[in-house]
Amino acid sequence: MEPRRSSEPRRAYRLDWRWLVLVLWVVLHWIQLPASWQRALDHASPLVALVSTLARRTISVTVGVAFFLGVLMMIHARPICRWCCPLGPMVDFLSRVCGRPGGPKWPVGSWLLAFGLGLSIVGVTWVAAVDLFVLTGCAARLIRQPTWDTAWVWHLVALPLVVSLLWPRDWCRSWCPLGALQDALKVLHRETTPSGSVGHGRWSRRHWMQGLVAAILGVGTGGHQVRSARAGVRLIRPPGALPEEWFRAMCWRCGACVHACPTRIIVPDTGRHGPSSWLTPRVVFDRGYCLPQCVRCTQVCPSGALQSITTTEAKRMHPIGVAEVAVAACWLTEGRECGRCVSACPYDAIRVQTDVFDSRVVVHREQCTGCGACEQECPTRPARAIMVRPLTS
Amino acid sequence: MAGVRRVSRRDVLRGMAVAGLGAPLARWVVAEERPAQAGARELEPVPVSSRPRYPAIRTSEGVVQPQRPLPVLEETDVLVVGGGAAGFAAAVAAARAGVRTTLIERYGYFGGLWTGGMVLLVMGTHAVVQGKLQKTLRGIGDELLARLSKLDGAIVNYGEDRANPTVDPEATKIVMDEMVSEAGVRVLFHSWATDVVMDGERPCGVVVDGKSGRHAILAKILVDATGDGDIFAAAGAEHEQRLHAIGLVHRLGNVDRADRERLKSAGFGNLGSITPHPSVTWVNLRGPSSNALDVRELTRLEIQHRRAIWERVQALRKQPGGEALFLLDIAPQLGVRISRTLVGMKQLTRTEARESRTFPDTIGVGGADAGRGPQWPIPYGVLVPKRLDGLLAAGRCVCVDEKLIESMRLIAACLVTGHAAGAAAALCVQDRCEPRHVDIGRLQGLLRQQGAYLG
Ligand SMILES: Cc1cc2nc3c(=O)[nH]c(=O)nc-3n(C[C@H](O)[C@H](O)[C@H](O)COP(=O)(O)OP(=O)(O)OC[C@H]3O[C@@H](n4cnc5c(N)ncnc54)[C@H](O)[C@@H]3O)c2cc1C
Ligand code: SF4
Repeated sequence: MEPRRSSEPRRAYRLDWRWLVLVLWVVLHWIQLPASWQRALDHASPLVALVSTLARRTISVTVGVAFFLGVLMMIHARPICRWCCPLGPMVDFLSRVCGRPGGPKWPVGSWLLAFGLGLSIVGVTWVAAVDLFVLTGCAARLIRQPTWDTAWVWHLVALPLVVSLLWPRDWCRSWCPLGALQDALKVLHRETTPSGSVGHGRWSRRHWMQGLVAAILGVGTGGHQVRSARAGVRLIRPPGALPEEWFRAMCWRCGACVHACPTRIIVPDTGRHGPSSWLTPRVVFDRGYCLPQCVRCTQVCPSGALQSITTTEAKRMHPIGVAEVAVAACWLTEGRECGRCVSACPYDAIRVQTDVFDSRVVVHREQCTGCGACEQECPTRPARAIMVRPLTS
Repeated sequence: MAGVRRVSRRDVLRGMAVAGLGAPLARWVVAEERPAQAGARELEPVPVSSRPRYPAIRTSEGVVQPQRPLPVLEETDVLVVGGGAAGFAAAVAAARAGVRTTLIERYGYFGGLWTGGMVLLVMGTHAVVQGKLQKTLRGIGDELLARLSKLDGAIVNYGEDRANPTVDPEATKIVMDEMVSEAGVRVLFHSWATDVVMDGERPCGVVVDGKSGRHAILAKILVDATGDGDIFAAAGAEHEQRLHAIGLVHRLGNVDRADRERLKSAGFGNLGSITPHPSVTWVNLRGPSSNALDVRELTRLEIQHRRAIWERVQALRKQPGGEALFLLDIAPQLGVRISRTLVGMKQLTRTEARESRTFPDTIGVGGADAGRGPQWPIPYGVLVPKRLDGLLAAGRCVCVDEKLIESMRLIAACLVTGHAAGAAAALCVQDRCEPRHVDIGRLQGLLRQQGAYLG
C-alpha cells in the first residue's frame, strides 16, 4: 500500500470500545427487544429526540437518554462520537486503511441538521432516517432479516463508509448531522479545536448563517410537502397511520414496520406516488393480508407516524382502506361458483346478495377494515374483482 | 279398500322371513324373483306382489306408526349411503380394499350434484406447491377423470398441469357405473335411506324405502355420503345445520351460434360455463339462502327456479343474437349447497387450510378452488363423529368451520374425503375396530397404495 501522506502523526490502532457498542446495537436489534425498547434505542439519539419533539410539540419520556447526552455535549466535545457512535469505529477504521485527507470540507452535516430542524418545525421528521442511531438499527434489522424490500438502507449505511474511504475522517468532521449537532451545542466549554481532531470545533458565524438559510429552506420544503400531500393521492397505509399528509411528514422511512409485518404486506413505496411518498410504507396484498389479531407494525414504529394500537378490538376502529367490488369482473356475474371473498373476510363484512340470476357481492363498509383478505382470495385475473381502496378522509 | 289378496307360497316364505326367521332366507326370496322377470312378455300378468301391511294409524294422539318388523334386504360389511362424488369414491375404495360393499342411492344414477345437479366443473383439483401447479386430486377421483379423458366428448381441460376440468354428466354417470361394478360393489338405486338401524348406541344399518317397500340393510360400518348428513343425523351424531343458497342449473344449447357480444351489451353477459361440447354450456344459478331439509321449501324453489330459467331463456331467444339458443335441459336435481355438517373429532378450519397445516393423520389433500393458492391437507378426524361409533362421513357434510365449507364442498375435495372414508371403513371391518381407532399408518398405507395423494 502506498505510504500515507497524512500530516497527522500515525497513531497505533487500538481496539476501540465503540466496536462493542456496534455489536451491542446489532445484538439488541437481533434478539428482538420489546418494541418499546427498540423505539427507545432510536430515541436515544439527541438528533432524533430533538426532531421528534419539535415536530410533535410534546416531550415524551423516551427523550430522557437523549437529554442526558445533550447536556453531556455541552460540556464535552463530541461525546457521542467518542463513546457511543455505533458507526464510528467502522468509519475510523476505513479512514485509516485508505484514502487521503483533503475532501471538500463543506459542512454538509450542519446544513443537513439545520434543514432537518427546519423541516421538523413544520412537522416533517423524515430527516431522522440519516441519523446514525436509526441507520444502525435499520442495518441490524436487515442483517437479521434480509429482504430486498428495504435493501436501499444499505445505500444510506454505505454513505459514511464511502465518504470515509475517499476522504479520511471527513464524514465525522463535516458530513454527519449528529456530529454537527454536537458541535453546535458546544457552548459551555472553550475548546476550539476538538481533541482527537474530530469535528469542526465551535460553530462560526458563517456557519450559523448557513444553518439559518438551510433551516428556512427546510421550513419551506416541509410546508410545501405537507400542503401538496394533502391534495395528492392516498395510499393504503399500515393500521394506525396518521392522515396521509402527516403520515408522509412524520414517517422516518426506517422500514421498522416493513420488517415487523409477519405477512410481508408492507412495502416501501417506490416513489410513483410523488417524491414525498418515496420509501414510506404502504400495504399491498400480493403476499397476504392484514391479520386481525396483529398490531406489530404499530408497536415498532419509532416515529409516531403509525399510532400505537394494542388490541384487536382497537384495530377494528382503524380501517386501512375499504373493499370495493368491480361487479363486471366478479365471477358471480358470470354465474361461476364463488363467494371466496365472503369466507375470506375475518370481519363478516361481505355478503352475497342474490336475485334469481343476478348475484352480487356487497361490502358493508362499517364492518370493513380494508384488511385485504378478500382481495387476496379473489380468483379473477388480471385484476381482482374485489380490491381494497384507500380511505378518502 | 284393500285389493283382493291371494296368499301364495312366496307370501308365506316372505312372512317367515319378515317375522325374523333369518336374513339368509329373505335374501333367497329376493334372489329367486330375478330370473322370473328376465325376458318376460310385455304386459304379461304376474301375481300381485303383496307385502305385509303396516300402515300408519291415526289415533287421538296424532298419526302413529305401529311397531313393525323389517325384512333385511342385505347384510354387508361397508354400507355407503348416497352415490354422489363422495359416495362413489368411498364405495370403490372399500370394495377394492377387499370388503363386501353396498352403495345405495335415492336416484337412478351416480354423481349426485355433479351429474344430476349438472355442476359440471370440478374445482379444486390442483394447488400451487412450491411455486408450481400440482395435482392434488389423485386416487379414485382422478382415475375417474382419466377414464373420462379416454372417451370422446366426456371431459375438457383435463391434464397433469391443467386445473379444474369440466365433464359431461352422462359420460360421468356411465364411467361411475363401470368403476363401481368393476370394483364389485353391490348397488341399489331408487332407494331412499330414511332412518338408521341402531344396535344400542351404535348404528348398524339403515332403513331403506323405495318401490320394494321398506327394508333394512345391515352393515358393520356405515359411510354417510348423503351430502345432507341424513344418516349421522338419524343416528344421533352431533351436527350443525345451516342455510345456504339453493339454486338450479340448466344447460343451454347452440351457444356457439349466439352472438355473445350483442347479448352482453343487452345485459345478458352470463351464457354459462363451457362443457365438453362447444355448443353447450351449463348455467349456474345461485338462488336464495334457504333450508335444504324442508321439502316444502325445496318444492317451492324447484318450481320458482324452473320458471325463472324458462323465462330467462325465452328472453335470450328474443334478443338479437340469441335466437338460436335453446334450453337443453334443467338439472334433475336441485342445487343444494349445504345443509348439515358433522361435529367431528377434528374441525378443520380455513386458517389451518390457508396455512397448509399438515397433520399426522392426513388422509388427503384439498386443492385451491381456483387453481391458485396452497394445498391443504385434510386430517382423518373431520370424517369421524365426535362421539358416535360405527359411522364415517364423507363429502360436503364433513366437519369444517363455516369459512372452509365453501372449499370443502367442491367436487375434488368430496372425491378425496370419499376415497378416504371408504378406505377407512374397509380397515374398520378388517381390523374389527371403530373408525376412531383405525390405525392411521395402515390407513395412509392403503390410501397410498390406492393412488391417493397425501401431500
Ligand atoms: C348450484 C351449485 C353449483 C356448484 N358449483 C360447483 C362448481 O362449479 N365446482 C365444484 O367443484 N363444486 C360445485 N358445487 C359443489 C359440488 O357440486 C357439491 O358440493 C358436490 O358435488 C357434493 O358431492 P357429495 O358427494 O358430497 O354430495 P351430493 O352430490 O349431494 O351427493 C349425495 C348423494 O346422496 C344421495 N342421497 C342423499 N340423501 C340420500 C338418502 N337419504 N338416501 C339415499 N341417497 C341419498 C343423493 O341423491 C346424491 O346422489 C356446486 C354446488 C351447487 C349446488
Ligand atoms: S372472490 Fe372475487 S370473484 Fe369471487 S365472489 Fe368475491 S369478488 Fe366475486
